[in-house]
Amino acid sequence: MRRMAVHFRRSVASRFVWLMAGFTVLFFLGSALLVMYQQSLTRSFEAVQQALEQKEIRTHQLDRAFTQAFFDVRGYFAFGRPSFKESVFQQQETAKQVLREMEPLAVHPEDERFLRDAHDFFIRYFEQLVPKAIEAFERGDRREVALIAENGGTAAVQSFQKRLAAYHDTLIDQMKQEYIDFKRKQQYGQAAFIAFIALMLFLLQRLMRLAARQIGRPLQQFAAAAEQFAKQGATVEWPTFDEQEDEIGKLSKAFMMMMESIREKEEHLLAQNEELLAQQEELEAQQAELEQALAMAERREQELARRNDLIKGMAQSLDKQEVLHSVIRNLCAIMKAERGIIVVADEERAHASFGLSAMSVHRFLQQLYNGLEHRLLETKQAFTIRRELPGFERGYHDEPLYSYDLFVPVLSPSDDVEAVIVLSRFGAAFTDDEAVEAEQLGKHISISLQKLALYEEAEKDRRLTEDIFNHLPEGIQLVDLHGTNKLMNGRMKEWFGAAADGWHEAPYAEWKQRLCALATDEQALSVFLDQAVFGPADELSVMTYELKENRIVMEVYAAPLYRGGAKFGTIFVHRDVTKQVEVDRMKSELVSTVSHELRTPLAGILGLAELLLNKPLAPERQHKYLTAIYQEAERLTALINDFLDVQRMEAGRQTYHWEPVDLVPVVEKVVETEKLGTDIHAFSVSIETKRTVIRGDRERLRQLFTNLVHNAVKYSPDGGTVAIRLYEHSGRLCVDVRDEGLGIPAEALPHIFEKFYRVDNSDRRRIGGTGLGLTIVKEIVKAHGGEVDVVSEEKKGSTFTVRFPMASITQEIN
Amino acid sequence: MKQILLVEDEEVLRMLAADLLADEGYKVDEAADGAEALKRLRERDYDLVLLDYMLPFYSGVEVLEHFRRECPEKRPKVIMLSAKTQPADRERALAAGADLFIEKPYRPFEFVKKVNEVLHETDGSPLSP
Repeated sequence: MRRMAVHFRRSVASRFVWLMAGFTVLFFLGSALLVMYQQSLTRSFEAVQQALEQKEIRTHQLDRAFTQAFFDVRGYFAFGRPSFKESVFQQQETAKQVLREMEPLAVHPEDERFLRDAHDFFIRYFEQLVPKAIEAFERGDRREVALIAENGGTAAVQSFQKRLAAYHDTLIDQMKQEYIDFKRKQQYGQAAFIAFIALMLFLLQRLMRLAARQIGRPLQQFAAAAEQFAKQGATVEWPTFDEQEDEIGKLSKAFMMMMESIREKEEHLLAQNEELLAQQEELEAQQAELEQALAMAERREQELARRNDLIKGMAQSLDKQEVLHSVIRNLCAIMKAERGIIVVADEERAHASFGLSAMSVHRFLQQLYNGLEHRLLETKQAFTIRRELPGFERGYHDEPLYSYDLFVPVLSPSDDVEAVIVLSRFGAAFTDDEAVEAEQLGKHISISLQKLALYEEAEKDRRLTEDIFNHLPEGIQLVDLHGTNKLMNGRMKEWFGAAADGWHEAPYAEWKQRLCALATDEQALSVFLDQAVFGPADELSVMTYELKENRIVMEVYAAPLYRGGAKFGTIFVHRDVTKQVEVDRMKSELVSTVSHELRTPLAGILGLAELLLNKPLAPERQHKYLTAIYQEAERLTALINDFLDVQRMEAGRQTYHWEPVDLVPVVEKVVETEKLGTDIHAFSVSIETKRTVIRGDRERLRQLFTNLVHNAVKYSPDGGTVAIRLYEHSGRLCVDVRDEGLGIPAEALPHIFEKFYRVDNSDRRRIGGTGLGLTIVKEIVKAHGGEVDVVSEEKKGSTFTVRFPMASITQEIN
Repeated sequence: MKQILLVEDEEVLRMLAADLLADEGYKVDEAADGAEALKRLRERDYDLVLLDYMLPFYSGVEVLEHFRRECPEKRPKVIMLSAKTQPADRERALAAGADLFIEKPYRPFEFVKKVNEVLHETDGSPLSP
């Protein structure tokens, strides 16, 4: 109990919980009592009512029984029917029964009185009157009957009936009274319930007020205090509930502690704030400083970027013009100049300008070194001048405008003026610092210009070397120890075409395969290359191979390359030896042909001579053999002469005695001679021009026409006319030699001027000849600056035409 | 009497050879080129053909090869006359069925001797008809 009290003191919540619990119990208890009272009231009312109803029912039954009996008795008396008499007795039983049932129901004295009366009447009626009357009736004594009735019978009955009705009324009244009582009691009960509820509500209200007082007020005070605290801060009167032990007390303490803490923190924060304000000021000062530094850095950076552009522009190109353009453009940007020009101080006067018209540049260059620029060459220092802008440069401004021109020398390390830079700025003068900066930049430019000069020189050398290398008649290829292609000249590419594409740095296997694929004998070339690249490196090796595509014969030699005594690669030199090989082949063929041509007559001569010497022969046979020997010897002589002539002519060693020669007598003399050798040919010479003199060698011309006319005779074995015609055509003196002989097959025509070429035809084969006659003709005509050709049809004859230039003739003659 | 065909384009040499062989008592037909030679070879069976290597149109070897293809049943002895005696030429001629090479220029009596020898061999040869 004591603990409970402590608990109540410490907790507002439990206090109210218990009060509410007590109130609830009281409420339910009171309600239950009232309900129970109401219920018992209802029950007792119902019980009384039921009893009265029973009585009422019985009374009614009794009434009916008596009434029935009265009627039956009268009926019997009236009609005499025994059934009525029976019914009277039946009614007697019923009344008796009802009376018996009514006995327990009699509770009131009234009831008991009625019961007694009823009982008395019953006895009197059923036991005295009725039996008497019936007996009288049955005796037929109607008078007796009527007497009985008159002597009280009927009156008794009527009196009882009245008594019954009165009792019945009493019962009804009782019932009514009971109901009214019940209603009244019920109303009392309801009033009591309302009063109870009112009481309860009053109690609850008291309870609420208590709660409000105990919780609400402190809370209100706290709220007000807190609000004040929030508004005013530290100086708040705090409601004191701290001696209380319950939640309010705790809350109060906590609030106070919290306030204390907030107050402390606030103070702390204030202190901090002050500190921060001080710091902020300091930071702002620092920031201003930094911003200044940053602005400076940015300016510096831009400056550096422009300088960088300048240097990059100079470094990016090796083209002088490009570099100069880049220099002046960037320099104008760095120096904030509107216009500028740079001129290299050499004979070419290479230059570039920015913001200047071509005309201005031209004028400037013409006057270069005559004007102010001359000062640069002497002082070698930058200087500025101010000049007023002429009208056309001022644009729409009326007031005078000034241009500041900065002259900067570009000095080489040996302090020579290498180039001159002039920069113009409108409106603002160049400072000394800017002039110094421009001079420094000038040094950069100088380095760049020198680099350019070096490069140009090196490039010139390189190009020369490259040109030589690429235009050598040999294809040169350099490979390293692994056979990787390192260098190859243009000739190689020219020869090997597409196969030589992408050879640079091509591995050995690749280029070898591609090169060998071009050669007719791939295997041999492959072996040779292997040997040259990887084989013992002490000798030069050579081989020839032939290209499949165009039958070009190549010679390749390989030589090891040494550096410091060690082999570091192999050089291949490819050479087109097609002509050489062809010449060799022709030479050997010629030798073979000549030897055959010489041997054949010799064989005849030898054989015949041996026969003549060793065998006795008939004189005519001896003569035949000697003639043959003579002919063969002649033939041999002619052959040797012709051959030597050809050799001499072809080698250009033939000496010609140039003089004006009239062809007419030459031709005529040849014809005269040839006539002697035949009697089946006719000759005709027709001269169709008067200008028949050419510059020539009389003896060679005779040889020329002898060969042609002799051939004409020789190749028309069946005779015919040999016609010679001299005429002019296209400014040339032409000589036709026409025959009506065998003609030349078309396929042989292109070859007939070749050495030892003989048309292979059995008819011709019997015609002797060296096979050199037409070759000699061709050589002589060539030496005379003329030409020879032939038109021929087989079996019809041939026409050889020789044409000599006439211009030389007139000159010679004049 | 042995029949010999002499194929030689050089007139003087043909005359010399023909005279030499006639002196030996052979019957000699002459031809100046391959076409003529083949014509004669078709017409008659010869015991010996003397064939110059260097002939106009067809070389001696070509004539021989052609002849072998055309008349495989004819089996005359064949002597090639040649100034050019490259080994390859010799091989080709031998493959075509030449029996002997005589190099030009030849000595008349040695020539005759060789011809006699070749013709003499024929008698005992199992190949002879």
